[in-house]
Amino acid sequence: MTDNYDREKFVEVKNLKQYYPIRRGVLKRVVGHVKAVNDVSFNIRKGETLGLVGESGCGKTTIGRTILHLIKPTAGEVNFEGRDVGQQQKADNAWLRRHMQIIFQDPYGSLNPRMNVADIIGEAPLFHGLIKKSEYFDYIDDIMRKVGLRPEARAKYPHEFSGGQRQRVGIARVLAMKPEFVVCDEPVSALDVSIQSQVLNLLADLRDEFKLTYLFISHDLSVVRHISDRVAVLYLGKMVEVAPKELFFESPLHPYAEALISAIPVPDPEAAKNRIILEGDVPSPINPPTGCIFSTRCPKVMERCKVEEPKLTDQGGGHCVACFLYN
Amino acid sequence: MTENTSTLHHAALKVEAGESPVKEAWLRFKRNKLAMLGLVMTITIILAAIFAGALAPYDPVKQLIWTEGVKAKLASPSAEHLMGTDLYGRDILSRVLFGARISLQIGIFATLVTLLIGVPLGAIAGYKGGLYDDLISWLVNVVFAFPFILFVLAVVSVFRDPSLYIVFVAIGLVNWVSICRVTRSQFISLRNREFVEAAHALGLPSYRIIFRHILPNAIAPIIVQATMGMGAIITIEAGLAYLGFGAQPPTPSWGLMISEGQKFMAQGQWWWSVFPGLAIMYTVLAFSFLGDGLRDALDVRQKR
Repeated sequence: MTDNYDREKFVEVKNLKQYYPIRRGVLKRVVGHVKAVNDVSFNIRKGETLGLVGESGCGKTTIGRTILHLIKPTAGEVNFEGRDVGQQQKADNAWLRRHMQIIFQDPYGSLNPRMNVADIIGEAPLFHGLIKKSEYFDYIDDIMRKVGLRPEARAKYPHEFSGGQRQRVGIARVLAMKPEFVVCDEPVSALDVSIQSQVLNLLADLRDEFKLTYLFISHDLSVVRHISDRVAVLYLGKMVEVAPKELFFESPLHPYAEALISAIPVPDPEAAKNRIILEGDVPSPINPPTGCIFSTRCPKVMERCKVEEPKLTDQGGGHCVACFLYN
Repeated sequence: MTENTSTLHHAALKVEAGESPVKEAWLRFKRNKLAMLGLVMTITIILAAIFAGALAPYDPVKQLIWTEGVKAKLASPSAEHLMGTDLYGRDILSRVLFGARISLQIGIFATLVTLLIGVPLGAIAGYKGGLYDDLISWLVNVVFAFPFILFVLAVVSVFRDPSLYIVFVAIGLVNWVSICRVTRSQFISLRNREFVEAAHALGLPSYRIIFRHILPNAIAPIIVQATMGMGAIITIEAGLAYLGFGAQPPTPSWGLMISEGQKFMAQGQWWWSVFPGLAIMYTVLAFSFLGDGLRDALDVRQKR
C-alpha cells in the first residue's frame, strides 16, 4: 500500500449525521426530523475490529449503511484510506465497492432467492473483472471452502440451506470481492445460539487470514467482547464511550455503559448481582433531550448535564467518554 | 493454495443439482389438478389453432350451398357437420377451429403489447419512485378511469379498415395498466429488500440490479396477471367483433359468429351462436384455471 494515509485513520468518520424528515399532511410539509445518527465521529485503525454496541433504534445500522454510502448521509463525511467515500462513490464506484463490503443481519433476506450460490458469490467479482470466466468455478469453490461450505453445493439455491449456512454464503459473497474493510451488521443475531459461535469464529479466522478490518455492529455485549479490539457505545444516535476492549469491560466510565455491562448475564448463581436498573424509556430520536442525551435516565445526573452537552474526551489509554463526571 | 490442487479438486467435484425455484414451482403445479386441467385445455386450444387446417373437415369460408344445395343451409348438427352449418352453408366446426387462431393471435399479441408497455413503466415507477412514480401512477389512473370499451372503439374506428393489428394494439394500449400496477408494487416491495441492498453494496449497476435481482423475483405475479388477462382479452375481442368492430366477415371470429347467429337462436337454429360461445367459455376457463394454478405454484409465501 503506497497511499500515505494515517493508519490510525483507515476509516475516518467525521461529524456524521443522518436525519430522516417526517412529513405530514397533504402538502407533505416537513414537521420534524428523526435524528438517527447525530454528529458521530470515530476512527478505525487498519486491522482492528471496532465493536459498535447500542440498543435497537439507536442508529447502529444506519451508521453501517452510511459508511458504505448505501444511504447518503445528511451531513458529515467518511474517509476510507484517506479518500472521501462520498466523492469516490461518484467517481469510482467499483474501487469503493471492492474495498468496503457489508455482511447483513438477516441471512434469509440478504440472498437473492432466484440465484444459485455460485452466481451469488461470483456475480460481482466477474462483473468487476476480479476474475476471468475460465477461473469462475475454481474461484467460487475456493471461497466456499474457506467459509466452510461444500463446493459440491454451489448449484443449490438459498432456500436449500440452513440459516447458518446462508450466513456463510453471505460471508463468501463479501470475501469474493477481496475487501479490506467489512461492516458486519449484526451478523449472528438472527442465528441460533449454537450456530452463533461457529459463525463468529469463522469471522475471526477470516479476519486473521485476510487481514480484514471490521466494524462489528451488535447489541450483544458478550459477542462484541469475543471479537472486538475496541468498543464504541452508541445511545440515541450519539457516541457516549469509546475504549479498548479490556478497559471497557473492566472499568466502564459512562453511566450508560456501566448499566449495560452490569446487565450481562453471569453464569454463576453465587455471583453478587448488583445490576444497575435504568429508569424510563429511551427518549424519542425526534426530540432528543437537551444537554447530555442520557440526562433523562442517568442515575448520576447533575444540573449541568441538562443544559450543556458533554464532548467525547480521552481519559487516557484511548478511553474516551462523553460525560461531565470526568471533566 | 496452489492452482494444481484446486484443479484436481475441481475434476473430482460432483456438483449436486439444485432445486431451482422454477423446478419447485413446476412440482407444485403438477400436484394441482385444476391447474393441470387448465394446462391441458390451453394446449388443446393451441393445437386446434395450429392444426386447424388439417383438423377442419371443410374450408371455413366456403359456402356449401353453392355445391350441396339448400340442404347445407342452416343444417342442424349431424355426422356430416358435427356442429351444423350457418345460413351460407359454412361448416360451424371448421369455423370454430379457425376461430381459435384469431382468438389466440389477439390474446398473445395484445398481451405482448401490455407487457411491453406495462412492465418497463411499472419497473421505472417502482424502482425510481419520486417524480417518475407520480407521473406514471397518474397516467395509469387516467387510463383506468376512462371507459374501457369506448377507448378501444375510438382507437379502432379511427382506422377505416379495422384489421386485427389495430385491435390488439388498441386492447394493449388500455390493458397495460393492470400489468403496470402489479410490476410497480412488486418493485416497490423488492427495492428495499436486503439482497437488493447487497447488490448495491457489491457495486452492481442499476440495469443489472433491475434485470438480474429484482425482475426475476417480480416475474411470478406478472405472469399470473398476464395469463388471467389473456382470457379477458379474448372476451374483449369477441365483444368487439360482436359489435362489428374488430374482425370483419367472412373471418371466422367467435364473437362475429355469435352476432351473426343470434337472430336465428329464437327460431331454434341455436348451433350457429352456441358453439362459438362454448369455445369462448372453454378458452376463458382454460386461462383462468392456468392463471390460478400458476399463482398457487409460484407464490413463494405459501410454500411450506
